[in-house]
Amino acid sequence: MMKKNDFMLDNAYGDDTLQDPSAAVIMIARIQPTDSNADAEPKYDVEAISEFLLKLLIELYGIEAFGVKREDRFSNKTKKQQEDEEKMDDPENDKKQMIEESDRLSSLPDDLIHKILSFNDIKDVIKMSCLSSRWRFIWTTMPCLTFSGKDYTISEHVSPSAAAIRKGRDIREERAVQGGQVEHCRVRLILRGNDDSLVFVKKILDYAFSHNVQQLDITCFYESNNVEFPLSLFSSQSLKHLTLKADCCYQGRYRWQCGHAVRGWDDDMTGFTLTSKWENLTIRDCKMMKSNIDICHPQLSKLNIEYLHVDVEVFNVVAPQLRNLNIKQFSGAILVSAPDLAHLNIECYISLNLSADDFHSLETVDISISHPIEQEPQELFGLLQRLHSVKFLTLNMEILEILSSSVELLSHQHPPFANLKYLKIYPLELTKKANLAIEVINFILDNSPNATFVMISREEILAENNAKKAKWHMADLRVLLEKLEMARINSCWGGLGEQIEQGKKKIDEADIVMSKITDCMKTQFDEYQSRVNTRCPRTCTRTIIVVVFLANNNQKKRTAENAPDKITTHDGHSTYKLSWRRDDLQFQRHFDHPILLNLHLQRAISSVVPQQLEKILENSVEVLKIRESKLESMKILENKLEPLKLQENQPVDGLIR
Amino acid sequence: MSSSSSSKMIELRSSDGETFHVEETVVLQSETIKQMIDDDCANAAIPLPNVTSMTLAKVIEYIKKHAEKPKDDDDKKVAEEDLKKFDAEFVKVDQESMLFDLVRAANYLNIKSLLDLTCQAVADSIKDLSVEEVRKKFNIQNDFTPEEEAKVRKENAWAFD
Repeated sequence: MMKKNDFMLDNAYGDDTLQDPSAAVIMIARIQPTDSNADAEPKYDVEAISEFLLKLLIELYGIEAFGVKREDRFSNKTKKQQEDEEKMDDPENDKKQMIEESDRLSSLPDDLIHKILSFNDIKDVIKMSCLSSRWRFIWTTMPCLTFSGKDYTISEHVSPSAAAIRKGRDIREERAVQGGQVEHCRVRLILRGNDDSLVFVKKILDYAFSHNVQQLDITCFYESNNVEFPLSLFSSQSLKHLTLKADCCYQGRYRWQCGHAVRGWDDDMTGFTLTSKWENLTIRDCKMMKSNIDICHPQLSKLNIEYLHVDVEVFNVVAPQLRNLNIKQFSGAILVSAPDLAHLNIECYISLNLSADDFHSLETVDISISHPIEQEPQELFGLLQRLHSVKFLTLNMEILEILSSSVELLSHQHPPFANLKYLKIYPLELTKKANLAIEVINFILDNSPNATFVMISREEILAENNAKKAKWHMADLRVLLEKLEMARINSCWGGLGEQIEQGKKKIDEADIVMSKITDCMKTQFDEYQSRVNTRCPRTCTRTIIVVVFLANNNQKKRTAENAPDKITTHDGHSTYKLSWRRDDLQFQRHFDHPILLNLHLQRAISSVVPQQLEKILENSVEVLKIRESKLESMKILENKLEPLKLQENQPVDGLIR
Repeated sequence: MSSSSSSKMIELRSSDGETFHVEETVVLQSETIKQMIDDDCANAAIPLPNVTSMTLAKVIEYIKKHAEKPKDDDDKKVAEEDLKKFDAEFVKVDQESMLFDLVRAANYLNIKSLLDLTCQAVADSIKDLSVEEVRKKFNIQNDFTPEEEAKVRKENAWAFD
């Protein structure tokens, strides 16, 4: 097969007309061994071919398919390294594959190695680069780098690491030029320690933002330090997700603002203004003190503010593209300018002071204020007025209860909602008693007669909770019952087992008794046999056999029913049988050979008793009944019946022993 | 609990031909299988040619545990604690190779939480080891010449103290 292909290819295209890809095809075809010539040595220069193939593939698929290996290949690598890498390139190399099989870590694909390494600090990751050639540059392509600040507190570490990062960057830039942008880049930055490390942080941030990082997670454990974020942070073209977490204590001298930002700031004023291309911004667990905060961001589409404590008059958000705004546990005043806001989600302890430009197109609003206080109805009415365009509104019942306490204010207010399609009211606090004025609900629904109104009462939730709990209890109970039942069945089985054991013991006892009885009987019969033998040696054997049968209880006595009318003697004198029958000779039992246990003779005449009967009588006759018989001439009978009282014309029962 | 097992069963077949029956709700944690179910390819047994029965059994143990829903808020905390303990025990496998099998399986089946868990476990096992220890532990063949290795170490010297 292979030879044929070679032949065809070689003949179809002469060497002169061969295009590069065809040459490659032929060479690949030749390199692959077939079953028949698998062990044959290749006759061409493997090194030259693989070099050629690599060049070709790089041209076809771009450098990124081969990553940093190329860099080594065409630069200053040693002979040994080259050989090693060729081994790696060559899929036919069994030795290499064997090594990879036992080396489960190195044989993982790059993305999984990246994933594993992303959990470790960059320092540990870079250490891995001298494991083997497989690991040398693997970290430079990692999409997620973790910098854990504590390792970089000593300043001399900072510059080498920055150099290392720069090296990584150089490599990556080279690749970017050759094969497109590196995407989905994420930097996780965990900041711990003191001011010394800040220089390093700045360098990392510089690096991150100059390398199209799209996602930046910063977890900060500083108490009172300033993190000076570089200017480039705010002008990054690629950053889409920024998360600031934990105890970031942003104090007065904090310089996060950009001098050239949209709003000019007085030098005395501090605060920050965010202007960049981010789409998502999350600010979480932050304390911002003595500073005004402006989020002024033309592209921002989603803003999450969670657990933020600000010590400012107004928290300013200007985001014309903002669609989603989530505010969680924020207390203070917030001024939002986001005309296109569609989804607003507020979850607070007490009412917040939200002032805003007009929202034209609110879709859903979900407000939950767990502890509104009595002084706030005016503010709450103001809040509702601002949300006039909303279509789907969800409120917690406590808000409406506060409003109910000042129904008199309603007369001064316009019913705010004209587009309302759906209103849902639900309780947060379950133990309180409902205190809801119908006027408030009417006020909300006044201008939207077609709105669906859903109110979940406390009773309903309580009932539902009870039902749920009952269900769980039932389930628990069922499990318990199942266990109990199983235990009971198990104990029953145990009892039964014991009983069976006891029964077995009794059976054993019975066996012993039985065998004793048998032994007794045997000895008795042995005695009996010896006695019989002395008296009547001819009958003894058969009789004993029958008695043993009885003792074993296995074989029932042969019954009279089985006895035929005829005597079937096997000696061929059938004439006698008939005559005996006519004379009403009854044989109650018989065996194949005429062995009789009971012999009834009625009206038997001894003169016609043939020798046959004598024979019979010689054998085992146990019971002999003789009626109306004349037996004078039967010597044999006289002998037999000698011990018995023989009376003519009277039944005689006798036992021959 | 026996009372909640009314959902549809999905059949999975491992590379060595063993079949496993898992509730659909449980198995949906795998994005790969979810996609197959969405594409309506899950009517017969789903073949998983990259996963051995031993690994698959472990994976199923994991997703079953993670499919349990806490009853209420009180339970939630207990359940979270319980789950943490389970996870910690889960990655304590006898053989290192099992952990890598799990990494690959989690990647193939696209179960993010399991992938995170197992990768984290591998990362932790590397974390505080020296280069030589890592080589020994994972049987990594050092194909550098001594000169080359010295060069790499020099480049990244700051990471080695």
